[in-house]
Parts: sequence; structure tokens; C-alpha cells
Amino acid sequence: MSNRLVREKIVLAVPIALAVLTFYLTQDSGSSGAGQTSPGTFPRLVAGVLGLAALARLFMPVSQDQSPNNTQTWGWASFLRAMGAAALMAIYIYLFPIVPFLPLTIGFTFAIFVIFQIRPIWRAGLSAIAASVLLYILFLYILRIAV
Amino acid sequence: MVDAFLAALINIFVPLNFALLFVGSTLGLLVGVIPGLSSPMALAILIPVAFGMEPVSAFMILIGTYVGTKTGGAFSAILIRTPGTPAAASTAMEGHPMAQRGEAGRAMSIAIGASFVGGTLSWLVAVPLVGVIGIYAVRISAADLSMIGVLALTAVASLSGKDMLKGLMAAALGLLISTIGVDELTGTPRLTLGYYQLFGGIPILPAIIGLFAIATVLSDIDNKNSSQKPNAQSNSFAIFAMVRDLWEMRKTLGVGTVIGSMLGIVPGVGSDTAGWLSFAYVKKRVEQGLLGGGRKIGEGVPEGVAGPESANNAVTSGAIIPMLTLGIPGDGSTAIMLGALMLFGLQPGPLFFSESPDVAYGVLVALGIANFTTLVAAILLIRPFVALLRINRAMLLGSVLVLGMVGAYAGSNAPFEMIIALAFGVLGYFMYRFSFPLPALALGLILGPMIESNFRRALLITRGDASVFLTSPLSLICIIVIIGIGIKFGIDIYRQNRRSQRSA
Repeated sequence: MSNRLVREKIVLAVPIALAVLTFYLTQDSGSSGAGQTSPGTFPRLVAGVLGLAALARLFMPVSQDQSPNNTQTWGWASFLRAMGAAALMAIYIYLFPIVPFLPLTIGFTFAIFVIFQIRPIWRAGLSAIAASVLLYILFLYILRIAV
Repeated sequence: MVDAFLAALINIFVPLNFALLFVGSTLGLLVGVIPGLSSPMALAILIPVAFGMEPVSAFMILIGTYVGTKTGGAFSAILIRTPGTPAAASTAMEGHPMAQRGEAGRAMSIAIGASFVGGTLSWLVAVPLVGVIGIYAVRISAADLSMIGVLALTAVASLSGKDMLKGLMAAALGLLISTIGVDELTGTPRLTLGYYQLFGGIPILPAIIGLFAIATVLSDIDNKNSSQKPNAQSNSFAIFAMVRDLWEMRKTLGVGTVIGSMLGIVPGVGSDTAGWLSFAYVKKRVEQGLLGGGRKIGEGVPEGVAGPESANNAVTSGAIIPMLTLGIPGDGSTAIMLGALMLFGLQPGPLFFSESPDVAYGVLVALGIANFTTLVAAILLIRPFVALLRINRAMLLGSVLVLGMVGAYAGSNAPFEMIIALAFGVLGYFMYRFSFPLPALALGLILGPMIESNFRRALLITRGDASVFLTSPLSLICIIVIIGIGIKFGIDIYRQNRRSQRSA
């Protein structure tokens, strides 16, 4: 079995775990009348479908997995860049209440452009300033959102 | 109905609304032209902007964008053989060979005209249908509505990806996430893990921005090659030649429109499927020697542009009608618009046209007029749009990420919504990587509350008697179709396994 297929099978543990977790978290929600379904009924029903579908996929013969383009190709460099961008967004959210909008957004946009390999650097910098100022005008003066 | 329709028609021609519709069409064309930017992404980013407007005005810009992207995708498909949207992939098959032999302007004019004809004819057929569906829709029971929702999800799960089980898992995950928050019937918090911010449920706007803007950009992070230079000399545009071409291809346009209109109603069957089916029809007719004027498929048959373009634009009306009358969206874009309606406190469904006629008819009329504004915008701005293909796509995608984050915040001025957008962005990224269909997840998230509330209401009315789902004819039909989809999937797996055993 190729690495891709192993990854496919491993990732199915996530929906199965989610289904189990849902059953665990909704175990004490009781019904409160005739025909009144408990708050946990629907999530449990859905979690059951989710878990069963994941199990079926897990035990499905390998030939089913071998359809072309069934899973996107993984490049570690692109994965790391995507995760880098996600980490930058997390930092942006963390700093959002602390640092003023314009300098924070200029910094964030510049870093994103660098991750997206916009070269030369001065071009990324100028574009980041222009994009951030436009956003600032759009949100603060046109949409009147307090940023 | 006629009065409300006419009132909506008059309302569209209020200068602000018409301008917004035109701006939306232009934006849609722009998004469609640039490969990598998609209709759901544009709609997700636009919702925070539109949220500050009156609902009718907001939907002018959203509908304009929705229709505009369908046409814009053809330009890059013709000029650089890279479809701006998946729906235009079939257009590239004959459109690009036309451009290579110096007929790019003609191919683009056929695409623009065919898009207008397909979209408008399909709208003209769909408008009377709204009245008919509306009459029957008010008789639909809670059990029927919940099963229609489940059927829509099953259809999307089975048709929007290559693997039905992955589609089913994505839809179920969406439904599960939709149950997070305080249960509306009992007031009990569910699956909130003690976070008070989640008591109100997962906010739709940042979730949509995360799934369709942030996740798409993260997934596309390495695909930043943009600067394929189209031939600027070949974009001449002649309206009279376009009309003559369209008249000569009227039968192909008619077939494409019928295919698109019918497929649009089926949840999960998007514009791309309609385009390919229409292309298959053209291909067959060319092979029979009935079309193409002696050219073979792959040599730039003009009908190969007209057919797919009329079909993928005809899908728009078919997809919007079930969204408005039943609250069931047909694809990712209509799911986002359904979410936008909910953000405005509106509930599309059987009573939507009687409870909110201004918005309901406004959306319906805007859909028809948007075909016209898109036609005008495309004709006027064809050269600048073509020049857009030279823009650095990495910069555009990076800007989408920034817009997505700030847009998520703008929805309710809460940094928590940015966390939700980021979480859904990362979730969407991994789902994309493992080929789980994102529209199925979004649809589950959006339809979840409707399916659950009707499911539980049906059981409450019958004091827990689940046979109500079998005794109601519509609900029973839905269940039979769902089982049919499951059986078909099982047969497909069985056949595939037998084939692979034989070849081994």
C-alpha cells in the first residue's frame, strides 16, 4: 500500500474519533416529553452516519482507493507554506485587539505576500501598503466598521 | 404574484440597485476571468461588504457576481486554455483552438452571447415555475421538509466528489457542526465544550469565508503561475457578427439551455457537469457530420463554445429556484447565498415569497436582469478583462486571504469570528487535500438547523411516531430516492472491484 493510501486510511480516524466524542458528550441529554426528542438525538444520529461512513471507507477494498486523483498530491514545501500562512493568520488574530489595524494589516499582508513568493521584496512591501490602505478606507470610511 | 414581481422589477431600476447589479456583474466577470478565484470565494468575501446594505441592494451585488462569474470563466479558457472557473473547462476544448487559429474575438463573443441566451431563456422558463412550486410548497409538511433536506445533502454528497462516502462524511460533518450551540427546543447547550461564544452556534459567515476563501487560497498556494500572455491582437469584438453566429447556432443553444436548466434543479450537479453534457451533445453531432462545417472536434468548432456556455449559464436559474422556494441550495454558490439570506434574518422556503416578497422577488428578478448587465459589462470591458490575465495571481490570492480575515471580523466586529474563519480555513485545506467535497460540508452546515428542526417537529407532532416519514408521499419519495442513490453507489463499487479483479 502506498504512502498516499496509508495517509487516506489514517485520516479516517478523525471522523471516527469525532463520532465517538459526540456520543460521549451527548450521553446525559435526556428527553422531556412524549415525542420530544432529546437535544442529543440528532447529533448522535449524524455522528452515527459519520462514523459508519468512515468505517465503510476504512474497510473498502484498496482498488476503490486507486482511482486517479482520488487524493491531491502532497508536497511538503507547499504544506509548510500553507501552514506558515495559517500560523501568520493566528498571530494576526492574536494581535488584532492589541496593535492598531493599519500597521498590523500592513505587516500581515507583507508577510503573506512574502510567503506567496512575491519578488522583489520592495514590490511585496509597496503592494502590502497599498492593499492595507485600501482595506482601511473600505472598512473604516465606506463600510463604517470599527477596526 | 404578478404585482410583487412588477414591484421588484421597478425596484431593480432604482439607480442604486441597478448600479450594484452592474458592479456585481463586473466583479463576477473579473473573478471569473482570473483562474483560481471562484464564484463561492467571491460571494464569501462580498457578504461582509453587502451586510451593511439593505437586503434587496445586497442581493443585487451578490446575484450580479454569481451570474458574472459564469461568463467570465470562458475568457481565460479561450485565451490561455486555463478555465477561470470549473464550469468553463468544457469551453476550453473548442474555444482555445479557435483562439489559436486567430478567432479569439469570435470565440469570446460567442461565449458572451451564448451565456446571455442560456441564462435568460432558463430564467424565462423558471419564473412561472416559482408560482407553481410556491402553491405546492406551502402544503409541504415538517417531515417532507426534513427529508427533502436529507435528499439534497445525499445528492450533493454523491455527485460533488469522486467518492460518495467522502461526500457523505463531509455532509455529516457539516450537519454535526451545525448542532453546536444551545438547542432551540430545550435551551440546553450542546457540544460547546463550555465555550460561551459557541452558545449561539457556529456563525455561518466566517465559516463560509474560511471554507471557500481561506481554504482555497491555502490549497492553491503553490499554483501561482499566472502570467500566461494572451494574444492581445485577437480580441476584436463585433456585435453583429455575434448575433449572426448565435442565430446560426440556435439549436445548439436551445439544447444547452435545456440541459443546464434541468441539471440546475438537481442539487450537487453543477455548471461544469451541464457544460460537459452539452459539449458531449455537440461532439456527437460533429461526429455525425451535422455540425462543425467540416471541422473535427479539437479543431475549434464554434458550437463547442456556444453549447457549454449556454448550458453552464442556464444552471443559475435552475439552482436558485429550489433555494428560494424550498430553502435547498443546488451548489456552493447558492448555499452561500442561502447563508446570506439567513444572516439578514430571512428564511427561504415555502413561505418565503409570501413573507418577504420584496427580497424573494427582488432576487428572482435580479437573476434575469443580471444576464443583461453581464452581457453589457462583458462587451464594454472585454479588453481590460483580458489584460487582467497578466496580473500576478500570487498577489491576488494573498489579498483574498487578508480580505477574508478582515471580512470575517467585519461581520460582527468580533475577533472570535476570525478564529472561526481560520479554523474552517485549515479544516477546508485538509479536506481539499484529502478530496472531501467542501460544498457538501457547507450545505450540511447551512441546512442542518432546517433539517433538525423539521425532523424533531415532525416527531413532536406525531408524539414520537417515526412512521410519519413513510406515510407522507413526498417524504417517502425522498427516502426511496436516497436508498436508490445508495444502491447505485453499492453497484458501482461492486463493478469496480470486479473489473480490478479481472485485470489483476
